[in-house]
Amino acid sequence: MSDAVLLSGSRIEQVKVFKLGAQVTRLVELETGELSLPARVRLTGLPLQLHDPSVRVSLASDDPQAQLPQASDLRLGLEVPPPDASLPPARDEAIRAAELELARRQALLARVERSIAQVQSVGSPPRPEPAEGEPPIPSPTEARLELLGFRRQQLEQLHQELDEARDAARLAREALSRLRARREAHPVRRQLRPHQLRKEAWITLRGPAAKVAMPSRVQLRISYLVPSARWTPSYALHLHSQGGQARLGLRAQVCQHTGEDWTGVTLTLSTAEALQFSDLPKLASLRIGRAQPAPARTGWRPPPTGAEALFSDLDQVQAAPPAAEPAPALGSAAASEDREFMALEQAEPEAEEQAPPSPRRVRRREKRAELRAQPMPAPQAASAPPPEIQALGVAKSTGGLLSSFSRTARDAFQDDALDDIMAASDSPGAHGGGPPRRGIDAARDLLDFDALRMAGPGEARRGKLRPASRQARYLELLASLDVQVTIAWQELTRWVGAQRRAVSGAALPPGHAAPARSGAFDHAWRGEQAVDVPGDGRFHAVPVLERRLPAELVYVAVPREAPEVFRSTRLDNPLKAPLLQGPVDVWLDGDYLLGSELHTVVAGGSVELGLGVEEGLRVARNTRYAEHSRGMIGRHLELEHSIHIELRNLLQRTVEVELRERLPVSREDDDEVQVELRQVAPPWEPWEQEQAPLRGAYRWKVSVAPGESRELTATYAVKISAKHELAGGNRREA
Amino acid sequence: MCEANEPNELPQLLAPVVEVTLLEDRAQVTRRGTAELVSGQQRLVLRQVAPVLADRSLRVVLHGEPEGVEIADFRVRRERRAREQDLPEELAEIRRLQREAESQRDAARRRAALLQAQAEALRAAAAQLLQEACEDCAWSRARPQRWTADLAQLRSREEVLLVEILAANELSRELERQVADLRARRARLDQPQARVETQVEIDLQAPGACRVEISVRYLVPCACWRPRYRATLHGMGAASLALQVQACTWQNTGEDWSDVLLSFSTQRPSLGTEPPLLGEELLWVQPKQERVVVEIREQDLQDTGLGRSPAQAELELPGVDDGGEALCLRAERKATVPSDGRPYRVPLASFEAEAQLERVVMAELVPAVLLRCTSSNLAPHPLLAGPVELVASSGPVGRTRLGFVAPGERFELGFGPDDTLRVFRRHEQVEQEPGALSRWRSTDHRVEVLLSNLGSQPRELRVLERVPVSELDAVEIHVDESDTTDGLQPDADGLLCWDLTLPGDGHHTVDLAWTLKKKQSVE
Repeated sequence: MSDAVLLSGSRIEQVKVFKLGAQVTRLVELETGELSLPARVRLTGLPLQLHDPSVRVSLASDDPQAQLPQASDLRLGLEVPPPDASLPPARDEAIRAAELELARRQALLARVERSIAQVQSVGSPPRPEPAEGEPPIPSPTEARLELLGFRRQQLEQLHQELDEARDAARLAREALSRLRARREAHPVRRQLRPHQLRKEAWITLRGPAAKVAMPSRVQLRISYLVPSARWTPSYALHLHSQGGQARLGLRAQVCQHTGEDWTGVTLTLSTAEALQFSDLPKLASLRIGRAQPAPARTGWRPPPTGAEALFSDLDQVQAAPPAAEPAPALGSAAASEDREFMALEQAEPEAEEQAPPSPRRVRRREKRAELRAQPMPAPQAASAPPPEIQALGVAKSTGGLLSSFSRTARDAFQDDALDDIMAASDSPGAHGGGPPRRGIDAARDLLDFDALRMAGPGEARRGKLRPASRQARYLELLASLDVQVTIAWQELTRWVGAQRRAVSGAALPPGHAAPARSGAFDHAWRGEQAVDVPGDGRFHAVPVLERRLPAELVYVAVPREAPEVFRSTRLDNPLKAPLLQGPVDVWLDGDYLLGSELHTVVAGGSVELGLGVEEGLRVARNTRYAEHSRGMIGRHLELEHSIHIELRNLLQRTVEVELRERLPVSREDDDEVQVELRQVAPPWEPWEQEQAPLRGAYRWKVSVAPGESRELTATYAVKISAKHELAGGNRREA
Repeated sequence: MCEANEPNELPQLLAPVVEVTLLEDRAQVTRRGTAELVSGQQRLVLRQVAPVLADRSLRVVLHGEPEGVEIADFRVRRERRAREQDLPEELAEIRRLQREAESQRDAARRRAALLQAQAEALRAAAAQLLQEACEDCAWSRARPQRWTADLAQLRSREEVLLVEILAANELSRELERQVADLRARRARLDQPQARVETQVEIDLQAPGACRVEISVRYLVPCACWRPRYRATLHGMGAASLALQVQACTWQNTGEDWSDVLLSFSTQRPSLGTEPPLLGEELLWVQPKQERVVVEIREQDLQDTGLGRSPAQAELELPGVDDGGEALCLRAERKATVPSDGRPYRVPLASFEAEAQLERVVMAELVPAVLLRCTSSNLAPHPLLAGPVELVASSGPVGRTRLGFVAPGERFELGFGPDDTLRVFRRHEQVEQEPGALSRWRSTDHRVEVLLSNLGSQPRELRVLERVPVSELDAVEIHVDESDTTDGLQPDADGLLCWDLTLPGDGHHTVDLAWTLKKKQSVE
């Protein structure tokens, strides 16, 4: 196990960002040398968020003739950082010695303090009582002075000792607390935080069967899905006022919190959803009418029975046979094996074990096992297995014709805990389930043989295979490396879940829209340069690709509605893929002009983008109105309107301007009102407004030299009977 | 049994595990060894046998039929290393250690108390000295130098004592820790689920001193095998598929199998012993029903679930179907399987066969473009159901499953979805209003399969759809040619198949329109 060669120098080569989630490809170069291919490699530094079942490995070499080694037996483990060698963990003996030293220093300090108290209690003694009949001896002043001198000298010395003892005690205390702090930081049995953990992949390599030339360098690529990534498109459009070529840049706001920075990677952005492995289904013929032919043999039969009887001799010796664990619900045990790893509430796998059932229940269970042991009636069983058999937890994926097998990774990514992603991948739904199976079938969880463990005679469900939790398998792998750690699984759950929610719940930058597939087709945009995206859960703008395309500035005025002249440009989509909805920054002649919004443009389509008002062009519109009565007998009115538009170009160049105008129209079958165009100069052309179709729309296309002005006129008359007037007033122009 | 209280004195039979035959839920273990026999009745003991062995299954066989040697009896003897008398040496040792540690601890405590008293006496002496100095002073007999020297002596003695006290206290604490450890060890030994020591005792009768070879066979639970495969794909198009058959072996029997000959069987020794009973089938008539009740057989709608429905089914790996003929496969070489309950792979056989690769879309079942590899079983034995580790472009790409495949039979393996292709399927269903006089009701179905190529390389693929096939006059199915891509009509099984090439970054739509007409009387 531990002979695996450590490969830590992998770098991220390529990232495919899906609608939600990303597929990361890492590359590491293997030097094979003279057939000295490592039998087993450990690829470290993979993110904790990595979705275990999605990992794929491939090998390649530059030499197309060379025989490549083969990778297999992929296992995933947790990578635990090595302890910091520069600061060895404090051992118990060192701490104990420091504790002893501190106690000694404190005892000495107490001794000095006691001595000071003793000496301080020394006072000037009274003169002794004289003997009977004797006069008192003279006052012993000299001796008293000497005593006081002794006292002072003693106290001076003791205070010096006190200072020294205090210093020594302080030093001892500091030394001890340093050692203790070090032990907490680097305990011998370490408690690891999520940010210290990574995942790692164990890969077995097998050389080519024949001893042919091995390539000297082999590229090992490992790709995996991570859920915490998303993107949204935005654009940059560089225009020239002179017209000609414009540059349209597709940018992406990419947000990822996958636990690793993407540095110097090639990005591919897609509207698609991350895809998981699917089994090959069988498209069977559907028949209406008589019964279906018997289903094809699945290759499975009911589990063997009777092995429990083999334990009877052991049970006689052992006082109490191990309590049969309550039959785990099909879903809960298999799918939750991963949930244990991440679920928020569940603490330990042991916590799930319920109280052992009463002996009576055990007996009932045994009885049921006996029942099952009876052979089933053969012919009927083929088409409709008795419920007892079907309940063996194995006839799981009876799917229907119209039921959806299409649970994709996206749904899984939106589930609440990372383990659900993991669990979902193992459920038949996520995998397409394959053909609707009847009869006995093995649940997909149980076909992951690497995860199954045989329960020993002292364990629950003895003699049966049971799936080991992912958590237990990680620890098993670590134990094989002699790494002793405790891992706060709950904290890990929360941490990874928070990372995922931070991305899926992150607000898009203002004005941005989530990438949506256009017309149910999915598209991908391949980045043309290496970019960096830090893994901090924030949106980062990265360039994706840039195209040159013809784009002429067009000036449009609608003088009837507004006196301004608007700039716009017409863009043909230069890509094979659509341009998705997103904000666009427009630059004109190198200056930032404005931010606008681009609506989805299909591949091959074109779009008109408004670019704001051109101040250098002015338009003025004046109207005249006259009412004439005509005819002698059938009198009628002619309401004559003249429109006079003046367009002035204050720019330094000749521009072409489109002016839009409209004539009034009568109702379809109304001959009471007639509209007649009298005069128009220069000539105009009919025009159709795409956004809101209308009748009577016309436009002029005129070019104006710099500093010049153009005049445009149009006159129309509305004829009505003299007895009538127009609803809303006869004068139609302001 | 009574005289066998001292098993150490009996001659041991050294017979390691040499051969194991694994079944679906048990294993037949064979141990073999040689023993030197003396004349007369004697007993051999085979120690460290798996405790889970089934006593009834125990067989002891003599090899080479030595003259006159007879097996009188053999039995399994289990001893629970739980009660005190079973573990005299170990427990006594622990007790001795504990007693020693306790007496040392008490001595250290006594010493610490003594030193403490001594230190206090010294402190009292210092206090007395100071008091007497005052008295001397009153009598004008001050001797400061002497007082200083005396005090210094007293204090230095006290300091030495203080350090000794600390050391003694530390020693008694350390000994207290040792005592606690030993107590915990004793408590563990006293626990009831201590190991069960199992041994096989063989009583033999020999006419004279000789050497015999003895085999011991027995059945154990807590061991099983299941087939698994590794499928390696070489090349694309006309590719070849290398399939390695492996046996995945687990055991937790309590004895390690090191360097043993493994064989794997699908026999079911536990099948029932009595034939099943027949039930009577009663026939009767009823008035003819006017309505015809029809069903589409596959339409048993059931939630495929997210793998956590509260279905009360036992989670158990089913057995592998051997096609009715028990199969026994032998490992290519000897293998080692420790008793740790973990899976171990044993290669059984391998073959390389031609394979056809194609991309297929069965959007109704899986909305993805799947890589389908069709090959045939060139192994002399059938392939049993099991998981398949898929290896393509020199690396693992996933895991799928294989059903029962007879020798020479063709089989399909899915190598997973093509990541650069995406599929979206729309199915609309419009119920037509039946005419006033019409006896027919019809439903229009429109299926649209939208294919996108996210890569820059063109891809060839095959799209499969199906329409139901009617076997009744009262139901008609009609595929609308004009609204179906290429005007395709279904084959006799109702399947339609389009082959197309999707250019790089390209898209394609496959349409299918069909109408289901049924008589009003049909439900």
